[in-house]
Amino acid sequence: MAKSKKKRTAVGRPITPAVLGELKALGDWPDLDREFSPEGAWTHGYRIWTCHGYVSSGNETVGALRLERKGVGAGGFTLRTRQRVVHSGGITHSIRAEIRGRGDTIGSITDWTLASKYEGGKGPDRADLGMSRKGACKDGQVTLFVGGKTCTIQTQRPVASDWSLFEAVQRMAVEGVSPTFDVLEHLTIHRPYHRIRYGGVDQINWSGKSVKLHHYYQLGQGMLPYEYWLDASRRLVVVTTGARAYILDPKAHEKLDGKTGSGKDKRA
Amino acid sequence: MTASQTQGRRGGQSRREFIKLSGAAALALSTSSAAAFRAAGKNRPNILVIITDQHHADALSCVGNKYIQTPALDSLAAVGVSFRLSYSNNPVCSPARSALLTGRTSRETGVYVNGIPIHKGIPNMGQWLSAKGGYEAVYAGKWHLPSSYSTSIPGFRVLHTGIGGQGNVCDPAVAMACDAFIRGRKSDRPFLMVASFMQPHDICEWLRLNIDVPKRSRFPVSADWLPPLPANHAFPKVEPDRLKSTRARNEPSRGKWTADHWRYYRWSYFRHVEQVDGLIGLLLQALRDTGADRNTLVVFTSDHGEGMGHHQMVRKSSPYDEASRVPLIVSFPGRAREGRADTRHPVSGVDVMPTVCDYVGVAAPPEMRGRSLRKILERDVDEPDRFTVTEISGDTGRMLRTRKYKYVTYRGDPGKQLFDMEADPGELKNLAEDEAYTDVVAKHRKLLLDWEGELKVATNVPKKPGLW
Repeated sequence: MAKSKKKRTAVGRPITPAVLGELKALGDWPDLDREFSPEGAWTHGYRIWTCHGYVSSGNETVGALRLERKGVGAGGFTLRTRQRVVHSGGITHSIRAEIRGRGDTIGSITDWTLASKYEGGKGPDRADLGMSRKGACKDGQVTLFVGGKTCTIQTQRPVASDWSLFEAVQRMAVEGVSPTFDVLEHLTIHRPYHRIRYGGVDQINWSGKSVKLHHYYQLGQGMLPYEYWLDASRRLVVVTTGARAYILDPKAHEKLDGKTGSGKDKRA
Repeated sequence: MTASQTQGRRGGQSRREFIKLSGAAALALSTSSAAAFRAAGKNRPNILVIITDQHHADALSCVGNKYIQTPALDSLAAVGVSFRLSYSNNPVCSPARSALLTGRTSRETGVYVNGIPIHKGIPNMGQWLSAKGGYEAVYAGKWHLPSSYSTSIPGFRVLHTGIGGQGNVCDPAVAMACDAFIRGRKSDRPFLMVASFMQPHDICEWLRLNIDVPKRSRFPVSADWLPPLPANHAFPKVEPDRLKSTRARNEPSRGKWTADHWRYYRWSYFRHVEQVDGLIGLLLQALRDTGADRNTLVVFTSDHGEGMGHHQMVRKSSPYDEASRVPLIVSFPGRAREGRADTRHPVSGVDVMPTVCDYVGVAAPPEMRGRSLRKILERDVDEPDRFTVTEISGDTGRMLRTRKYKYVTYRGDPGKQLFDMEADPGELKNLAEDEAYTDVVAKHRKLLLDWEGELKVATNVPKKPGLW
């Protein structure tokens, strides 16, 4: 028979900044004393942290996300993103994207490029799995260009991406509600009928510092709810969805260097 | 049996048994050359096997579930045949996958619980089709035979792995690797791709993160959207002890869930399924964009189901339909019928390997326990003798499904179950002790015993009495 598992304590509650604190996942409060303007130029780094549902086993940082915003006339923006996730066996999946969007409530995206590649891990080289995509959204239609082919998606709603929403939520009004929009997850997968709503204020302890956070949540088709927590200066410090959290950490990418992933992942 | 013959969990079968069971397979795998592979592959169709993890058979909008939107799988069902009585050979991850990828039962593969490799004497689909059919076999995602993910899988080139318990993070990378492979392919050999997604298995993490019932709805606006409780949220009075204890151990019992929390769990589960549906859409789009869809047999299924509140169950492992029945959609444009639902034939994961072999024109490995579905896929035929057997993890029980009935027996438990699946599809009225059904029970017991007598169970499976 299978080896008996040690009794493990389940977390029991959804992941929030307070729960992340209890699970010792928040780390140090990042140095955030600088002036912050959501509409200006800024760079955020996030650790991508995952929870296996237990208090003290299986929880780990698996990746990093960096967002670099620049304002572009009339409230618009460009957002450069870099996401790396280290998978079992040491395979790193990296995505770089550049997104242009409007300065409206959800930061609706207008055009973008994305490049994806796989590195590391045993076995044959994975260079042939690298891929580039382009896309644009205009007049209720998303057009995706990949490998010389064009795919269109009809939508009468504005379109955001999971990454661009990190930018937009910082500009949302307190107690605001977004219009209905569609999400293009990873600038690739269409997830319709989303809205973001204000959820109130949470007061938490972040490595000894008492912090007031504004809470927003996003519901819609195709995705688990996303929850966003912003500090008093409207800086996005924590995002959670299901068992995954993005935790503000300017050195997230540097910390990921050297991580090799689980050699033999025994978690189901 | 001596200790040396038993060889422990991972030792599997004795040398003699290995040779006996795998002679044809080993010969085929060792005598083929690379050139012969290529020649053998000419004019064969591509094969795309898409596996989700823990997918309730009714968690699809194309079967009438109005609380979920699965446009990608709906589109596949629209051009294929959906088998509505498809069952897992063993409703737990590793055992089910071993059966699906070999055509042998989980006890024959030696994978009678999670975390055991397939017995070396039994070829998997990648080994068999690359050796016998000249296929380029690639694998992406969850493996779990024995490790959840591995960069080294016999018979396959591994495109990508994943992260245990985190389908939300790793499945997009699995899909993008498969997408890139299909679009960038230049070889004239046919491909066999297994795209094995983790979702909606993340519901297991969700359960551990949502044991406690919140004082107020976490997302108040969603209250009107929550799906209702299932019609069979209750459970039969007479049940095997193992089912009762499973229910008592699970999160809803520990957290004393309210009806609304059960409904919220069901709502959340559907979002997990929608997540993977979008990724499956990426693969199907790649097939269409490259024109490969016209010559690709697509098989979509899952390793096992999800309790989803039926019988107040969550997760898997039970013989009830919510855990043991799985979606199975097969499409092959121009060859298989389109937009059909088969509601009368009990079929199983062990039928996939012989079906694939049948379509690619390669003899199936010896001693297949399943039967090709090709006739059902192509014509409105009736095969009334079809039945399926589901083994229960740890070799603790069996479930036999015939067209009308389901018979369940657990080792060392006098509490047998018999359900009339036509009159009582929710499995609420146990007829096993009803004198009017004595003959039905006896007939099903004999069918099961005869089936058991045919099997060549791997020697690493402990022999235990008390099943009958």
